[in-house]
Amino acid sequence: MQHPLIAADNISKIFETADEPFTLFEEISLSIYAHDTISCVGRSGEGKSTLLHILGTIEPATTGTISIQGKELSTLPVENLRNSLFGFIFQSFHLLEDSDVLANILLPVLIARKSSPYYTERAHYLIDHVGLTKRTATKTKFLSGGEKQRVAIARALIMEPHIIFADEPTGNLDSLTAEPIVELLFNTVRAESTALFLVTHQQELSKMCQKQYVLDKGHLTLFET
Amino acid sequence: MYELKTAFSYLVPRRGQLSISVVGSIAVLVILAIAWLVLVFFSTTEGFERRWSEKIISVLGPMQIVPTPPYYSSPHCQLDLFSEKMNRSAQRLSSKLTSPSPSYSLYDDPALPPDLEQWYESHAQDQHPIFTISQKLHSEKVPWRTFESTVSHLCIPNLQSAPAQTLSQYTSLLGLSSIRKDEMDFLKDISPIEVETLLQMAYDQKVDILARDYVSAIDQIKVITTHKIEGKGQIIPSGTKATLSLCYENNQLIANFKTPSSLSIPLTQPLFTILSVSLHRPIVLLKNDSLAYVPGLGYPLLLSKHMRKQGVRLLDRGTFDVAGSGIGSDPLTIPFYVAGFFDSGILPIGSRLAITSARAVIAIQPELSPGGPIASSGLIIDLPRKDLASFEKKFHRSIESIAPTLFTTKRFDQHETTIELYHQLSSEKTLFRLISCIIIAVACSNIFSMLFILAHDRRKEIAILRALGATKKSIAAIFIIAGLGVGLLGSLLGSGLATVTLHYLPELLSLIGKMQGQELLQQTLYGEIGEQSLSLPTLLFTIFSISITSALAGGLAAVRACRINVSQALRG
Repeated sequence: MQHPLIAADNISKIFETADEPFTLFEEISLSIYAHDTISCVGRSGEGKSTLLHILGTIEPATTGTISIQGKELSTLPVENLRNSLFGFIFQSFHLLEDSDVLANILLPVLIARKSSPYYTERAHYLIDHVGLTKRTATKTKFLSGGEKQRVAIARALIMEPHIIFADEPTGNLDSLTAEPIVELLFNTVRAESTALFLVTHQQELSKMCQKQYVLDKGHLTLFET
Repeated sequence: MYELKTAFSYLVPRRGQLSISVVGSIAVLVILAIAWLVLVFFSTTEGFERRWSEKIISVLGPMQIVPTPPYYSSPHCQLDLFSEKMNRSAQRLSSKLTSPSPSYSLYDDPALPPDLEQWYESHAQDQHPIFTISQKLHSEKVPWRTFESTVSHLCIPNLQSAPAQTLSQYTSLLGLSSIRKDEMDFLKDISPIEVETLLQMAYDQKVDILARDYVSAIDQIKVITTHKIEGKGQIIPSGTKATLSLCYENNQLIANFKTPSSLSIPLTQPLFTILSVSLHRPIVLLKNDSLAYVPGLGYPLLLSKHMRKQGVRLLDRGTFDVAGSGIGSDPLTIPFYVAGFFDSGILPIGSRLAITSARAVIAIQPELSPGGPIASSGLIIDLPRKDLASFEKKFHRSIESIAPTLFTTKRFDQHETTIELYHQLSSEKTLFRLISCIIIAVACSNIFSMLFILAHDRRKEIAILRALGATKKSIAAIFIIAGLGVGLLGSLLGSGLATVTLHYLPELLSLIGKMQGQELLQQTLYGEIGEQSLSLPTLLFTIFSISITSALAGGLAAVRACRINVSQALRG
């Protein structure tokens, strides 16, 4: 049987506070397989982003285990996973503002020390794909919100990841700008045969995914498949 | 390498990062000032020290080979004192035989026994006539002089001229031009080469003599000679019990040789005793079998040349009285015959001590002597200071087989009169270097402040890098490189400024002197202060210590950068 890309088993996140521990969520189990598109909706503060960070190995879970392709996370080099296996798209884009579009997209390649003509070519392909051909050498601080998110999508895909973690990808965009970004994201995910884990509070966006989870009062529930 | 690129991007001042730009600029300026101060101070003081050293070297020489206390109580010293009185002209029987004057006759040679003919007749039946020996000598196959452990002085009148290029220039340089060509065999291996190469060859024991330019300020001759005993013989074999007593009286050596009658002088008071005469081979051993024990004659013995003046002749015979090994045991009597004469000993003459081969001694004319003996202070070695340590090693290695305990080297800063001064200078230098290290550490604290602020300001960017797969090591590398960059930039700018300052130091000192109304760094104390050069060791020390400290400061800031909560920073 094929191992899930990511399998979370009974994970919980508890924060230590001055008074008493605060449980954000608990006993969450979830499996993400190749080509899955999964959304997680919920109200603000429910822990959607935290769950995404935990699954993306950016943040540790308080309890429970996470396996990546059948291997216990603690036995794996998380930096390598984040660099090569996962791609991240954040609500606030998180680009290097003083670098140009191409440099931002190639940043994961530089971190992985894999600079090669192949990746440069792929970066240009992705720039074309996200419609920023004319902005290749523009510093990202001069781009609009929508353009920045396009750069973020291209950067997330440069290393040919197995899964994209998208945290409120349209959260900072107006509806007119958001629409083509969403379309681009889903088209790209489909074209690159990549799994997607999407965190959003927009029902319409959530419905575009194959599996829709709801995080409510610390519990994750499969809403619709 | 993205770490380098990122570190560089952090260091470039930006409009939005005013605080970091200001702190960074201050850090660079402070390090510049410290590097300048350290370099100017140490380079100037090293300049003073160098001038003092030059003055000391002009008196003592860079290095001396000096006899040790055991030398003065050794038979070598006594032999040397006798040797000093010796006639060093060449008296080789072989040369007499190979190129005799028309009037030369073996039978009239004062160096040979007066009763040569009679002796020959009496020994003809023994099949060991003198001619057998003479012919062997004549054939030149018997290296009967080459084993000699001969040390004598070698003086060069003037080496002020340019380095020699040809052999004739060398011989002229060495004061040997008046010597007959066939006497210069020992120079034949010296091809026209630079003095430096010659020096190196001498180190490698390929040649016997080398010479270097001498400082015109000193009316002393700088000669280095090396001597290599080729293992063909030795004067004093070890592990023996025989005794040969000699004494020195009225400028004459008196030995207790019993026969022939001309040498049967009763021993008065032994001046020294050679305790190590071999039971089987007397005093000077020949490893060449052709001059080994001769039945009826005894063992071949080579004597110091001055004995010839006492009437000793070739083939004279005698015996050694050798004490028995135990109490009451009978003394042994060992017969010998005089097989030749040698220039003996290690000889301190004048203000130098030269070690050279027998061939060189024979070739050098005695009239080149610098005018009689004065108190010995060893052989002055005129080498560049940087070569002294390697020369010292090579000298000790080469002398190990000759007389390891009798001679040692003494650098100019190890002399009795200078050792205290150099100890003091060395301790002061260490103290100032320590103080410099502390100042540099304080200066580099600015780098830490700057990078600490930078780590805080750039936490979001660091979080992005971490989210995209950058390891903590990479993040640490960025900050260490950034620290190193600031340190290097400051120290390089400081070095440049120090070079300019040192170039114009005399003008600067004069200006300060005029401002304060009296001469700064008085010439009588510090000598003439000309343009100073940047001290290379100090430059290396400054750049190295600043680099290490600034990298350390970067490392400390990196600890903070690595502790950033990635998740929180991304959401913040």
